[in-house]
Amino acid sequence: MTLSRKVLIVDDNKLNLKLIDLILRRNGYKTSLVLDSRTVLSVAGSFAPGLILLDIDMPGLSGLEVCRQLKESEELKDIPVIFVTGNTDEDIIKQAFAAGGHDYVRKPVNKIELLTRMNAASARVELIEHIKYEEKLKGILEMAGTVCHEFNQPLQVISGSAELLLLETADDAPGRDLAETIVGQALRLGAINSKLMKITRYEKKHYIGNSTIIDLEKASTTGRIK
Amino acid sequence: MKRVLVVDDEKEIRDLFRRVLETAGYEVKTAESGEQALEILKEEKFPLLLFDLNLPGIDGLELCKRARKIMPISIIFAITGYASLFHLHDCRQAGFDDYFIKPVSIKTLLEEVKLASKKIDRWLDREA
Repeated sequence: MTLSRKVLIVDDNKLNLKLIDLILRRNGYKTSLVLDSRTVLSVAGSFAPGLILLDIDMPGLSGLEVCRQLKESEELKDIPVIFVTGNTDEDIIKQAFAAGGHDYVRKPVNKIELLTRMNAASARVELIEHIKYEEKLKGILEMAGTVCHEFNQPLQVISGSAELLLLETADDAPGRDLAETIVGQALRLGAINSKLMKITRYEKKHYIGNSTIIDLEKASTTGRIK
Repeated sequence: MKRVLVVDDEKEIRDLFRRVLETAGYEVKTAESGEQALEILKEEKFPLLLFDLNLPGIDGLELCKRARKIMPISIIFAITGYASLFHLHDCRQAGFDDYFIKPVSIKTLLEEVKLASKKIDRWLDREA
């Protein structure tokens, strides 16, 4: 289930809540339902929705106030809030957007309108997630590139020094085999480093427990990054 | 005795190449930056030059362009740990004769320096 299809629905009216829940679940959304507006922040924290559908007119804490609180939360502020309201007063709509709302749906809820607005918001969430993923991937690749580059400097000193040792010692000198091993292994690390810097496509293989690692044997240095 | 100028911002690398080349019979001078190398090149001539590319200040490509103007008859090698930042095409365009990626085998480096040295001798004989 992608983040963009996880929706938190908040409404103090059980019937409305169930209706919206039914429409969304039948259309591929995973939902979590909240009747008490005072619990929205804690439920959102644990459910981690991609979208929040929030009724405006609720007793206790209004939807507008809940939205303001969400926007003040570092963890939850980026989740788009779609208000649900039966109030057509322009001032309320203005307040909804001022509170940080992304969009609104009118009550009584019309299935087509709800799904159209939800799908548009969902597409936006997917796009933002994709951009975040690309940025993260770019950051990881840059970091990996930097590490590979920085590794080459000490590798040069290690392999070069061991090679020099071989040049400066007699063929039968003790420890020559160890120097040869150091040279061989340092150059091997250099070759791995060089391949890592150029990898554009890779496959993963099972490692320990549930973890996976890149299969260097199958990694490719040609073609599009994948 | 052939003179070689080694430019690298890492002391360990400078020391390594100095020792390797001196062991092979070359006279070696080192510089830790492009600026320092250009100062040396104002006073002294070197038929063989080894430049790191990722230098602080003037980078290896720019250093090579300027060194080429000062000494057109010389052989200049690029040695880099940053192969993905500096491509062969750019190195050739800057005037480098060859390009090595760290860690370079000392054996390979010495073979190439020896060949370059012979080439320089041949060029100078022709000029004489």
